[in-house]
Amino acid sequence: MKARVGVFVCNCGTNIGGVVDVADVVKYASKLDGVVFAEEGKWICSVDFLSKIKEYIKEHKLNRVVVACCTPRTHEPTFKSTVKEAGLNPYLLEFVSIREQSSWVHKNNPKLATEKAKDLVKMGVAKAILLEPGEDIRISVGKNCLIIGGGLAGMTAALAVADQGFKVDLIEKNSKLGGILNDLDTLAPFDIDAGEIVKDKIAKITKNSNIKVQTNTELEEVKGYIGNYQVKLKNNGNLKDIKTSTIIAATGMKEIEPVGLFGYGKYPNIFTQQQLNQKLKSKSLGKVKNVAIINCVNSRNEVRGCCHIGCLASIRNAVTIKEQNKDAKVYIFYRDINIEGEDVNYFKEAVRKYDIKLIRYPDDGKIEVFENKNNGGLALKAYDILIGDEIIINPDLIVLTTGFQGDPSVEKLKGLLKVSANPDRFFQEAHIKLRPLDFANDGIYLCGCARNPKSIRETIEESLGAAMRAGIPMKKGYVESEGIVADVNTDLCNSCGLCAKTCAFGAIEYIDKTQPPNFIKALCKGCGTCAAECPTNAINIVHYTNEQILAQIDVALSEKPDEKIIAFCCHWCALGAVDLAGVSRYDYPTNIQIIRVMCAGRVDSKFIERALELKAAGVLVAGCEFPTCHYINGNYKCKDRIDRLKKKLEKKNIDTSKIWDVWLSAADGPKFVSTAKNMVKELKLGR
Amino acid sequence: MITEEFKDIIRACEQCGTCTASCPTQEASDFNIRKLVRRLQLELHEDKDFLKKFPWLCTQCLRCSELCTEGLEIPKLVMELRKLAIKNNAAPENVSNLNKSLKEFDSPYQSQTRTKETWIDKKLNERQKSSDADLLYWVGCTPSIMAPNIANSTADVLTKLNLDFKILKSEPCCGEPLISLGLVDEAKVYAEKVKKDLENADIKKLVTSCSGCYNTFTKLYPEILGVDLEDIEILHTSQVFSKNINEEFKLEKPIKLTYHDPCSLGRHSNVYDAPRKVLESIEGVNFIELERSKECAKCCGGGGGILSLDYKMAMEIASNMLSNDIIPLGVEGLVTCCPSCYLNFKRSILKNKIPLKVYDLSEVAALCVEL
Repeated sequence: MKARVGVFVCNCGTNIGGVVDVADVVKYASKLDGVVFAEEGKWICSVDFLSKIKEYIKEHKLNRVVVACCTPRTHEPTFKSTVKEAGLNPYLLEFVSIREQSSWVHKNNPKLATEKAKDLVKMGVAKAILLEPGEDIRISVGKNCLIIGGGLAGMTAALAVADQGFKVDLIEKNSKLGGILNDLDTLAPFDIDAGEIVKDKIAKITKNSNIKVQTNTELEEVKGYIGNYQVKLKNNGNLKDIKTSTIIAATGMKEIEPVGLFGYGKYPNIFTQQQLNQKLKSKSLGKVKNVAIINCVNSRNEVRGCCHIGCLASIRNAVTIKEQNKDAKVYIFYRDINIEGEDVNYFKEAVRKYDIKLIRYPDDGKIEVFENKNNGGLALKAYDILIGDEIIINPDLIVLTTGFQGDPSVEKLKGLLKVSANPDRFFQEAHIKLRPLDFANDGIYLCGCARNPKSIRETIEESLGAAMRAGIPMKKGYVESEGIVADVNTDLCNSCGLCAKTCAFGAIEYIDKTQPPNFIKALCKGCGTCAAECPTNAINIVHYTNEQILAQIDVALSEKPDEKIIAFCCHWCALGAVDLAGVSRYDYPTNIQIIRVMCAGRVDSKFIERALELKAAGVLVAGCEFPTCHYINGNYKCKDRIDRLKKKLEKKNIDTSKIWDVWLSAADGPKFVSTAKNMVKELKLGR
Repeated sequence: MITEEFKDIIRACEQCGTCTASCPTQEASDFNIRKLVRRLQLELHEDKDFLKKFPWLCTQCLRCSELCTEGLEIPKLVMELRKLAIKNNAAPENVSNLNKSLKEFDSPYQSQTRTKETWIDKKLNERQKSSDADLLYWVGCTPSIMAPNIANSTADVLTKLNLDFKILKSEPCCGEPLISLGLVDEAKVYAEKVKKDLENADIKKLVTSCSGCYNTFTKLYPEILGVDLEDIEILHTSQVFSKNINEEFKLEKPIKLTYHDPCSLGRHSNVYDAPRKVLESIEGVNFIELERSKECAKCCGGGGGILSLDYKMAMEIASNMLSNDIIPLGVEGLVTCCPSCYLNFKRSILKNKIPLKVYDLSEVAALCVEL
């Protein structure tokens, strides 16, 4: 069917109309190939004009719509729903920004601003002609949740999920619930008994008919996606299949054994805090007279930072030791005292009441533990900064407050769930601030010490949070995503599996060499990184197809290419910065012509090569600053791709100084502007 | 055990170091009061080498506890360490020398027990012979032996103020040097003797020109030795002068003066205004206040037994103070009302040939007096 494009150009009061000659743009648009109707409006987002658009669509039988106005980040949904109401598929709308990208930033150059607006409209029309109808994708989600780990986090999350009316499968690899709490006695600072907490939770879980507990059970296999996980559990060698809609990982953490440090393993009576906990709880410690507690073992080094809970744990155990041995001398060797809020009072009072001697040892300070030649016991030598001298004590007990790593089962689990963990086996959340309890993969959540070491209070807070996160899709009964998704042309696909490796959301399932991978549209976020990585160009993204983007490039460079810089901007950070530059009315050269992509990862090498072939003055790729790409890894992939492209071109003696990249946050309006200015200056364009 | 008895001080110290910054001795030695407290925190204070040297470098000026961010009474710890050192035979030699001096000569200066005849001006002596006043002028060891001009000036001024007073024929030491050096038991014996002597003197009031004696009678006797001089009102000369001084007190020539707060009168006894009132009431005194005065006045180095233990270090502290704080004021004279400060400053000025006069408060008042 032949395209019948309608173009609507906005004045936005005087925001656009005051700089850009809107009537001229309309006239220009009406003469473009494929355009059958073009009109201007004072504010095309206004209720009257929106209803006019609907009439025009019907009257002129428009099957594609281009709006040239503000920024898609504000009104794209508005126009999409208007178009939908007029009976047209909303994916057939293209949004061109001539306010933030022209009138607001080229105020001093109305003539060139108008030229640029015309160019942008031309690009938009060229893309619109190639648009295809699309569909929002909906997956149904049931009311079952699988929780991996029966410690405090798992139990708390299980109760919170079950209380919302959902069913919970709680699996625990050990023979009983409780996790680390089973080794603890009274907890600082409120002297609550850990055993009571466990008993209380287990009682509530037992009473709750929504929760099914399986101990001695581990995860064996996971297939599927949110709403539709098919899971194999292994219990004492027996396999069992269950179906679940959401998963919460609450696998906790484990102390790092300080082998070879401070005499651990070499001399007797040297324990970790957890080993000490076990002895204190079972009252099997025996009498002690001189106790040295060394904090920050295996922590605060090149590999990991502060363990977060060591200070409170060490003072808690110091108090217990003093209560059981009133005349004992207890020394705590510390790097810093990292205790927050009102816990500080507990700490200070304990130190004063029990005369706990605090000795700071510097970052490069050595504490030596050796055999006391006189009596075969232990000796400890350290340098006290305050007294300015070495001190030697003879401890009959040394306790090492050591750092933590995630549970060993995470090695296997992360592969099964297709999620990431850091070298310390702590799971990595989707975004540290914006999505702290979600994995990047839809439907899987995390909480507690599986994420990083934390206190009991914090664990409970996170578990309640994760239960809430898991509850949202289960309550709604479905998840819906925009139809901007990847699709594969099976004729071109050679089953190399690169796309599956690239996808940060687990939306591409590699099957084997004989067939193309399975694209789970429901999980696809539409970043397009897979499409750009695909060596055979077999993958395309709805609304951002290769053909559409190449059409925009071709049309942009059809006139005066040597004055134009094609800037690929990601929708999230780069366009955010561009819009901010617009709102702030920063002035920059008109040479920059922006092509929007959802993610910088979409920018294929051949887009850049095409622009250079057509003699563009320059190519700029702008994406989210490292490390926080909106699509997790799109920016990294794009940066690597640009570096590889440059190397390839340099080998062919092609000048790569025209290819620039900038990585910024949505607040970096000034950075975008300065990059644009620098580029124009260095490439000697001067417009 | 010190660490148990004084745990409220020792465990509360957060080692901020303000005390060391306020200490007079740390400028003239390697004394560090913060480290001393740290030793107590780590229970490393019984080391003999430590006990032999460091507790004996404190002038007991109380500046550290005044400025301590937690208000801790740190000098008490020093006193306890002195007692411990004596108990463990780790005290410096001068301590037992002083003990002997007091036993034998009734003064820290190893000279004959002095009677008023050794210092008193002849004319004054005549007038005193038949006094049955109920006010006793307590002279003190230092004025009567080392600085008789202070004693005579005080007697002059009291006379000019028409205050009838008597003087003990044979005045003992108040015992303060023993307390300073941690010989508390010996000091108690002394105090009982002094109390008897005073009771026998049949007086209602006592005025002294020695700040140390004033502090000893009003604070140290009751608080440390448990000896109460009931029925006798103890006064310092500055208090008596300020109450009674009148317009007749004017100087022949105007003079620019500053005033040094003695630790025993100031931080120990809280008497700051009386001496200043005296100076301001004397016509011709151009009074300039020191930058650090009153509660945060610096110590001259002459307290805490230091004059007996290491008078050279005391002189060094005084000369630092003279050159850094007093000379820059551009004054002609320095006034103080403590004989130890007086002695220490005088020695320092003579040794370093500093162009500055030192006056006891009574001497300034006496300059106005013509007998």
